[in-house]
Amino acid sequence: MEQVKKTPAVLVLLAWLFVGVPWGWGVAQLWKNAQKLFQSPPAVTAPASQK
Amino acid sequence: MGAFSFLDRSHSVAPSGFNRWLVPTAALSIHLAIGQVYAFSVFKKPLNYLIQVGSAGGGLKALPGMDSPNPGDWKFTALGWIFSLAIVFLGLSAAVFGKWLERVGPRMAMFASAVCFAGGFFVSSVGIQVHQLWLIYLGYGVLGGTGLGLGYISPVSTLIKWFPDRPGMATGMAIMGFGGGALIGAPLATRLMAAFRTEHDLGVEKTFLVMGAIYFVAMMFGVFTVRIPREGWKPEGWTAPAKPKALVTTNNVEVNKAFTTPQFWLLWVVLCMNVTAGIGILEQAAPMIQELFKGRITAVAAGGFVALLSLFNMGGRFVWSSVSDYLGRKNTYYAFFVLGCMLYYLAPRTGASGLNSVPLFVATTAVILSMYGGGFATVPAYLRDLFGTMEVGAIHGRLLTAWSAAGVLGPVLVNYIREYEKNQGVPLTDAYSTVLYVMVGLLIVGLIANSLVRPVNPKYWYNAETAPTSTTTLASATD
Repeated sequence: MEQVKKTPAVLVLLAWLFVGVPWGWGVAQLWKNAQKLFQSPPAVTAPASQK
Repeated sequence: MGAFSFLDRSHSVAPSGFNRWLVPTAALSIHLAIGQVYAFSVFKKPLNYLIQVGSAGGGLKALPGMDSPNPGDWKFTALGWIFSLAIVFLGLSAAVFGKWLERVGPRMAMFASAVCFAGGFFVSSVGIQVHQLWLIYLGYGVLGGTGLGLGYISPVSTLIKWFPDRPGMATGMAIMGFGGGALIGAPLATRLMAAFRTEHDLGVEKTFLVMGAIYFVAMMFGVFTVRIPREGWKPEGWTAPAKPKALVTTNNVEVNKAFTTPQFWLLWVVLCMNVTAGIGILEQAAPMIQELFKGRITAVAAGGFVALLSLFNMGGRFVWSSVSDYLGRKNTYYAFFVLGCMLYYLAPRTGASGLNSVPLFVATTAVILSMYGGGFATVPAYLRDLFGTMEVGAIHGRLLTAWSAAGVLGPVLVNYIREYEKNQGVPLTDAYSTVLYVMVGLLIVGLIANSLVRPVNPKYWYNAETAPTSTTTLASATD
């Protein structure tokens, strides 16, 4: 009977880490950038005549 | 071939017990690398200032406006051709080499992609060193672009064969990687250039060298990891449905035959319209949000908005293609077009002169961009449903010409309409509305094309007995 050698789970995990870590780093960088959208807008200064 | 025999199709057949979840990591390592192309713009300004900084020294800490004052420097318009060439060669190589890929297998194609893509960086680095723009056109544009096309389609049919139970999810995962490549490529390039920068050197050529090396190593991981399933393999406990869905075939169509079917061209229109409409938003996202909400959205916040859209573009690739495994491909594209029409119509109405809601505008455009990405990611599984698995990678390669066409059509339409409206004295906010309404029209064309898709006529099916000499063994198709 043929001996089935299963891929070790740790190998699968390492492979996903190899692609996942740089990808996660990229997503984190982008998310930091995207947060600028949610920062409060600059206060609108009233025209001098209305002060 | 000797030393390179490990690249052969026969040497990449998976042994018993091989875990199929390793294959998406191979695909991702390729797509995350080649997706860097969308971050190429980070090089444009430094490339524009090479001579100026070299002669003026470190005085230029922050590079001033566009186009260096030094007449010897390359112009922005000339530099724009590098990216365009890369995208053109992506489409061309995907269309031309698809059939070769099906014959030699994914490992050889991924290796060729890695050599071309990394080689493109190296040749460009020499071009920067000797300040010859044609070398960058040849390197990053032609050679790198060829690597892009080969890499883009190389894992598609392999993933579909490994995941017959979830083909949409499997290809969506890889194509999401292409969307994610720029997320790594942009900050990596920025940091490398900062690290290599000296008083008289912006560090671009060293950055190209290092990035070429990094990407080559990352892509070689894919080369060594990818496997094709052995003949007759199927996922444990899975049996093909006795009665497949209406559009799903168990037969195969050879790429040259598929090219002559109405289904291929209908899908070509479907993809082209979906991508063109998405570009309609992408092209004008930052200025549009600032115009629609004048005084409330700063340029920095608009930059954040564009970044958020990139996240939805990437996430939509995985989510929509996975959903398509349950909804069916045709229904998923119906969702893109019907929902898209509603959202494109709604978007300009969320502005300050209408509903005046930034969150609603952001949500609307985010869903639109998710469907733009979803369109790319779902199409390989749609092709597999219609034409079978035998040469789906090659057929996908040819269909990508729709992307190239959309890449020209989208920006031309947007810019032409905006310019026309501006010349007519139409306020800028109304000009944006016109562009989006035209996009609604394009989506309706896509909707009609999608509704016309029917199963492929049996006269196109591949028949091993009557076929001359197929380039692909039918064995792989029956995996």
